Amino acid sequence: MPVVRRNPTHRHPNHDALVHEIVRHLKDEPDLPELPRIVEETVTLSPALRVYVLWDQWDSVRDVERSEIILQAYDQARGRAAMLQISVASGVTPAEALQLGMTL
Amino acid sequence: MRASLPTHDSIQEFEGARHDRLWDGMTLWGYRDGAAGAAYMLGYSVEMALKCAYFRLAGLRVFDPIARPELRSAEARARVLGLATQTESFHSVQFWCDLLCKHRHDLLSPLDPTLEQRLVTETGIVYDRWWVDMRYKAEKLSRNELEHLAAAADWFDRNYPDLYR
Repeated sequence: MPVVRRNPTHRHPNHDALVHEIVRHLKDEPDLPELPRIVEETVTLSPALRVYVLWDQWDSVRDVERSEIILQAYDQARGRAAMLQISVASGVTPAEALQLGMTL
Repeated sequence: MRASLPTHDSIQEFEGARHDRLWDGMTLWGYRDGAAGAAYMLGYSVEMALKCAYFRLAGLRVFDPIARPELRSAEARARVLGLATQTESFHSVQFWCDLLCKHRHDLLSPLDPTLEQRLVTETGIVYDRWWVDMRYKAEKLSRNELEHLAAAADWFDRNYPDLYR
C-alpha cells in the first residue's frame, strides 16, 4: 500500500467551493439542493447565534475547518457583524448527526 | 467529591477557578519552596481571565457549556479574522489575548488604546513565564520572574471586567 502523506494544517482542496455553496444557501438562491441544511439556533438572553450545518460533504473536512468554512460563508453572505454573532459554528454529516442524536 | 462536580465547563466555573487559583498562587508565592506551584497557579488564573473575557464577548451566557464546539469555533473565528497565533491546545494566553482584541476591533468596540496596550504587555509577560506544560516540568522561575508574573496576574484580576464590557 502506498504511503499517504497528510498535512493537517493544509486547507481542504474544496475549501472555497464549500464556502461558496453555503453562501448560495444563505442567500437563498434558486435551485438549491436539499443539503447543506443550515440550522440557526437563537440563544435566550443573548444576541449570540448557534449555527449547525448538516452536510454529507463534510466527510473529508477536519472539524475546525468545517467551522471556519461556515464562518467564512456568513462573513461573505451576511457581513462581519453577523459572523461575529455566531458563538458556535458546527458542521456535521448526516451520519454524525444520527450518532450524536442531533435533530437538524 | 467527583459526583458533586459540575458535568461541564462554563464561564461560571472558569471565573470561580480564576479567582481561586489566583489566591492559591498568591499564597504559595509567600512560601519559601512554593515558587513552581505559585507560577503555575498565577498563570492559570490569567488563562481563565482571558478565556472568560473572550467567551463573554462572544455572547456565551455564564452557564453555557464550553466544550469542543465552542473552542473549535473560537479557533475557526481566529483564522477567519486573519490571526495566525497558535492555540497551544487552547491554553495559550497569547492566542486568547489576540482573539479578544481582534474580535473587539471587528465589533467596532475596541478597548481603550491605553488599556489594550497594557493588556498586550501584561499578556506578553505571562506568555514568556508560563505555559500549561509547566505542571510536568521541574523548572523553576527566578524570584524576579515570579514577581513579574504575580504583578501581571494581579493586573488581570483588577482589570478583568473591563476586558469584556
